Amino acid sequence: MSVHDGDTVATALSELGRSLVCALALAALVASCARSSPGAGDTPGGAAAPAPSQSVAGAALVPAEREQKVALGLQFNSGAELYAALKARAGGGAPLSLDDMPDWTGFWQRVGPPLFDPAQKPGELTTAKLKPEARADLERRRELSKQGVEYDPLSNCSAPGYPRWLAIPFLREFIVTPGQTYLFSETMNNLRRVYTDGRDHPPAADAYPLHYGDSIGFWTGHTLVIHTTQVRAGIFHRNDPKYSEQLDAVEVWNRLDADTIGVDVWAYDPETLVEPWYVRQTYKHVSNQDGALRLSYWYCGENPNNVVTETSEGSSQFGDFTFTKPDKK
Amino acid sequence: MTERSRFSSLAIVAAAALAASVAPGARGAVRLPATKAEMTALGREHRTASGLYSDFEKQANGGQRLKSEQLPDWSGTYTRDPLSLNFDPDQGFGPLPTAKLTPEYDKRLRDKLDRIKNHIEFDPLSNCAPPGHPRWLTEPFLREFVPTPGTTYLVNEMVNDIRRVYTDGRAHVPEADRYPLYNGDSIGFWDGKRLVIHTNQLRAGQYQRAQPEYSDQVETVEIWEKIDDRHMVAHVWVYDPPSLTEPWYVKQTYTKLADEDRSLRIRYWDCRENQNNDVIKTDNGSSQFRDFTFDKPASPAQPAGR
Repeated sequence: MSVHDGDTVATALSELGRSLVCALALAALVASCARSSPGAGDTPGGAAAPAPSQSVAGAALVPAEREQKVALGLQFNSGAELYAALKARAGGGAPLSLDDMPDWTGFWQRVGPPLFDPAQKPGELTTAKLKPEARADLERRRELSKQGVEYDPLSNCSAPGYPRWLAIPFLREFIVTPGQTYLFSETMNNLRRVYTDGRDHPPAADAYPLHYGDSIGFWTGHTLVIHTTQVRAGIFHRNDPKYSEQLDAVEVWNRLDADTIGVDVWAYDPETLVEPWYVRQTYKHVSNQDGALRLSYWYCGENPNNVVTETSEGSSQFGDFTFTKPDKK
Repeated sequence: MTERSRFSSLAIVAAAALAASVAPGARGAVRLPATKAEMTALGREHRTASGLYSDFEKQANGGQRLKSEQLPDWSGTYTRDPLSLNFDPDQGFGPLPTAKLTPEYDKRLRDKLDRIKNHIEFDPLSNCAPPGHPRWLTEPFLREFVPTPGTTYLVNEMVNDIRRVYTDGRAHVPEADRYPLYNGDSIGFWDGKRLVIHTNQLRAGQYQRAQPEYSDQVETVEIWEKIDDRHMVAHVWVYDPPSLTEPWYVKQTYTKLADEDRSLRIRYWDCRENQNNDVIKTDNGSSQFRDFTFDKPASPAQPAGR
C-alpha cells in the first residue's frame, strides 16, 4: 500500500496513519460508487475492471473530499498505476460523441496564488511531502529569493513545462475534439496535446524528456482523465519544489458549473516526493459577451529584456543592464 | 411518359440537386471559377479584401454556423505541399514571384535578391520571431487544422504558431482598437464544408526569405476546403495597395501525413533552446549569430570549438 518503503519507527507510524486514511477513503469511494453506478463495486485498486455498462462515469470517478483524494493517490506507486485503475473503473472510458460534446469553449483563468497548490497556507513552505534533498533545495531557494537572488527559465522565454503549466497565470483555452484535446495557455503559446484516440504512450525506447511530456487520456461522460509522463525536470513554480524527469501525473478534468472547471491532480515523483502530491486546480470562465477578447501570438522575444542568463550564484542577469545603480560621477 | 410527368421528374431532380447544394456538408454556395486566371480576375473585381469577403458572404447567404456534428473532419497532421518556400507554388524555380509588384516593392525585392546572392541575409525567424500571416501559409513543418463550432484553430508546429478564426458571427475589432499583429485578426463563416476567412490588422513582413515584402495594409481572403481524404486546399487572395498593383491569388495545398500507428505527435517548439537562436541583424542587413562568426578561423592550428 505504501509508495516507498521506510525502515524507521516514524515511517511505520506514518504508514499506519496513512492506511487508516486509505481505509476511510476507500469506504467513501465505494459508497460514492454505489450511489452513482449501482453494481459497480470495484475500487480503483481492484483487479477486475467492471463491465462497460457498470462503469463509473463522470465526476463520480474520484471521491469528493480532499483527504479522500490524497488517500486515493497513496494507494498507487505511480501515476501510471492510478491512471490504469481509474480507466478500469470507467470501463475503459468511452469515445466522445459529436452530438454530446462537453462545452469547454471560451477563455479561462486560473484561480489562486502563484504556487502549485492553491490550498497552501501563508507562511507554509509547501504542502508537498518532500524528500530531504528536495526540501533542502526549496528552503535554500526560498532564502535566496528573499535576498533577491532568483532565476526563472521563463525569464529567458523557456517553457514553464508540465506540471507547472497548470499553475501559471494568463488566459487559457480548452479545445475538445473527439480524438484529441488541446489545452492551451497564452503564456509562450503553450499547447498541450492530450490524445484520446486510444493510443498508448510512445515505447520506452522512443521516450525522451519533453517540456510537456506525453499525455494520453480517456473520457468517461464529460470527465477527461489524463496521464502524463516523459517530462523534463523543472520546478512546480518559482517558490515551489523542483521535480525530476521521473515525474508522472494524473489529472481528472470536470466542468463543475457554467463558470468553473476543476482539475484534480496527482503528481508522483520518486526522486523528490515521499508520497504523491495531490492538488486541486480551478479555472474560472472569463466573461467575453461582446467577443472583444481575443488571443494573439505571444512573442516572448519581443521584449529585449528577455535574454536573461543565470549567474553562477543562481541569480538573473538581464541583457544590457544590471540592477546596480550607475556610478555617480 | 407524358410531357407533364417528364417535367415533374426533372423538377424533382433539380429540387433535390438544389437541396443537396445548400445542405451542410455540401460544397457550398460560393461560386469559384475553375482556373487560376479566373481566380485572379475574381480578385480584381474587388478593390479590397473586405469587398471580396462580403461578396462571398452574400453568395453564401451569410454563411452557416456549424455544430460539432456538422463540422468537416480535418483531423490529422498535415504539411505544405510542395517543399518550395515560394508563396506561390506555381513560381517554380525562377527567382521572381508571380505577384504584380509596385515599383517600390519590386525594387526592394530585387535589392534583397542581390544581397542574398552575396550571402547578406537576415530573417526574423532566426531570432525566434513568428513568421506572421500571410507568410504563415508557406512555412514548412507540421500543421493541424482544428474546426470547432465557434472558432477554427489553424496550427503550425513552428514556434507554436496558432491562428484563430472566429466563426461565431463576431465582426473585426473596431477600427479605433486595431493595431498590427503577427497573425492579424481573422473572422470567417462556413459555406457548406468550406471555411471562408478574412484577415486584417497585420504587421508588415515578407512572404518568405527570397520573396517580396508586404506592408501593414495587407489583408487576405482565404477559402479552405478538404478536397479528398489526404489534401486540404486554401485559395488565397492577398490585397496590399502599397506593394501589389493587383490582388495576388495563390493556391496552397497541404497533404495529410500517414500515421497509421499514431506515433506522430507534435511537441512544444522551444525556439530559444537552440543557442544559435539569438541572432542580431547587422548594419548591412546580414545575420550575426551569437558567439560565432561565419569567418574562417585566423589560424588553421586554432583548436576546434574556439
